[in-house]
Amino acid sequence: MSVRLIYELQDGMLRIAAYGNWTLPKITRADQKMLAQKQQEIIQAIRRENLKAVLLFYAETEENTAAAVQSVAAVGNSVVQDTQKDREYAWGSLLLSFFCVVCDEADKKNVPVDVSALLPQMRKLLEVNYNDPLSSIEPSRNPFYLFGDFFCAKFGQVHASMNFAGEITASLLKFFAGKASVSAKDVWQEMYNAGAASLPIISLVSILLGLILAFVSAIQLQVIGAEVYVSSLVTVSMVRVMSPVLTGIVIAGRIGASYAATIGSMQVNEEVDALETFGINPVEFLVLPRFLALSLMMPFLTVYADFMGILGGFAVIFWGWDISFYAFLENVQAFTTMQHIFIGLFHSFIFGILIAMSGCYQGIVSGRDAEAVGRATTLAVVHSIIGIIVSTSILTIILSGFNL
Amino acid sequence: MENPLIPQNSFIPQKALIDVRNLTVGYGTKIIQKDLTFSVKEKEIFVIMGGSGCGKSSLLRVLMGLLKPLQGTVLYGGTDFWQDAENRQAILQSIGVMFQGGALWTSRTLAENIAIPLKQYTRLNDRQIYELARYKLAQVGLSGFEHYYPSEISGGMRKRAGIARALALDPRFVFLDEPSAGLDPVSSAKLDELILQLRESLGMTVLIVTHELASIFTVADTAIWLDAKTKTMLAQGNPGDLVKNGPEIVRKFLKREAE
Repeated sequence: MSVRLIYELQDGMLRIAAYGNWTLPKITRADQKMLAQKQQEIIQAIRRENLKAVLLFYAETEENTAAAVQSVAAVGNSVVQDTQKDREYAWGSLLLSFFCVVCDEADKKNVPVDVSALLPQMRKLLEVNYNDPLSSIEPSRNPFYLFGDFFCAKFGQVHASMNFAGEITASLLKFFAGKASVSAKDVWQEMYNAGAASLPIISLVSILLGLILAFVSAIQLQVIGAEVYVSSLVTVSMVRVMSPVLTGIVIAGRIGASYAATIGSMQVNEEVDALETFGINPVEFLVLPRFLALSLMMPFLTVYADFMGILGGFAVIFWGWDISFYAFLENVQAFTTMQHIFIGLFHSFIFGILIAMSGCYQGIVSGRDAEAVGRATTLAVVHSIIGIIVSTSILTIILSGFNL
Repeated sequence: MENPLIPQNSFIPQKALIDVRNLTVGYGTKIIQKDLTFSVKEKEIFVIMGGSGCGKSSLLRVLMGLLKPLQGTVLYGGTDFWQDAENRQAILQSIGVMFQGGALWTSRTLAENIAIPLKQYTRLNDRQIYELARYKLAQVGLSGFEHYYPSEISGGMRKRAGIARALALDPRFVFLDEPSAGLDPVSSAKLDELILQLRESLGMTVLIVTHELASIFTVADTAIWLDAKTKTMLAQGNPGDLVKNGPEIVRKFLKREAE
């Protein structure tokens, strides 16, 4: 038999009798609806009526329950005997939680609840306290406070990121003064992760980009018979801006995200706190090695990406348009100046700083749960990419102001 | 729509007992414990003892289905857990586990942590599930913390919430991995009382890994000792007997003497 619940209200006494199998897997959809409705009715009755007492009953069979209800009505209390010794446990936490809700509701109206007809072990489990939610500090209504609160909520991030930038600067100064405790092994490991380990993806992406650039421009330049200039077009655009930006975006996804996730997980495991309790500055210990490694490796990766992109471009015009290697090289030499190369390297250096900072910053300010680490990782990548695009625009404007 | 995950004729092991035969626990080629043979009777409170690093938690992981044993069988009510894939899901549903650190889902509130298995495996509505979760939390003394996130409460409270979650489905087997570590003596004693009550009232079979001597003597019907040196089970019996007649290392452990 599945769950059954009956109640009756007589002379200010509310008798609630439950019987049947209340174990969780046995509850059907119909049981659930019936229970929800009866619970509502019972709570309403407790709230509205002026009750003298609430009496709870439970037995496995209907007859036993009815007998219990009658005997209590007639002579007062009588505990239902557990008839089956080897029975399956037919009542579970659902019944208890239902009874607790009833007790709680009756408590609020100061109506006594008689549980003496329940099995002793059941009564024991009903002895739980439902406390009110913990009190919290009443927020101030002072307009200055409210303004400050609003300001901090809106611009607290700015403050925190400025603080972080300041801390990095301070630890960099300490590092160059030879006072920072940066382990060379850490820096070396991070340089490997950011540099050598990134080469495959950088190769793939920049070869393909060079290929695409060459192919698209060759088709256009063919119209005026100037396909020989494809080489210089691909080279200059790759060296000056395309490969730094592309490398930056790839590294933001590959390395920036990993910085945020690593430091964020350390935040979850209280590893960052452990550093602080030893008096070790987390920025110096965790951020500085990554910062140094990435800002150093980004220019190298960009040079590599330059070569790969030019190679891709060369492949297209060598096979597609039959231009010799020497003609290609001559054109590259004629149009690519050191200025272009340095501008590209400068870009990539700035991007390295941006990616390392936003990745580490998001990790350091990450919350302490799994979702927060995910959010930190997303933000690290998004902010890095936005930073790369915006700083490219700014640098382009500044450089054109100097006619560079 | 009915939840397809709710088994229509849910398989429940006929006898709530665990039979472990010639079990070898290890990772890859590394053996941690070998030749373990013991059985946990219905409604028994069974304690696994042993020094740090002897493989208690690994044994527990085998029993709860997270680690495949290298050799041997684990029978739940006569059903081979690692061979009988059909019934494995049902056996798992009858097991409630509390992990050492609580292992609460950090992005959910405490009430939601308890509600997730209830939503998955019962047909109750949201309100009933919430009330049940609230009751379970009150049982472990966490009433009022339903809407807190695990990161907002203390380690001991997280542990208790983990126990509440382990009890969510009224499981027949409850596995507790160091439940009282990190709890104050009063909470720890309350927990022992709760364990005894649950066995008494809902007929749960409880397996505990613990170092807490007071707790071992209060709750354990049977205790086994896993030895780190010989890599096998050295003693089995009631802790009261073991402290008198057990092997020397177990006696020392139970009397809290240095080697």
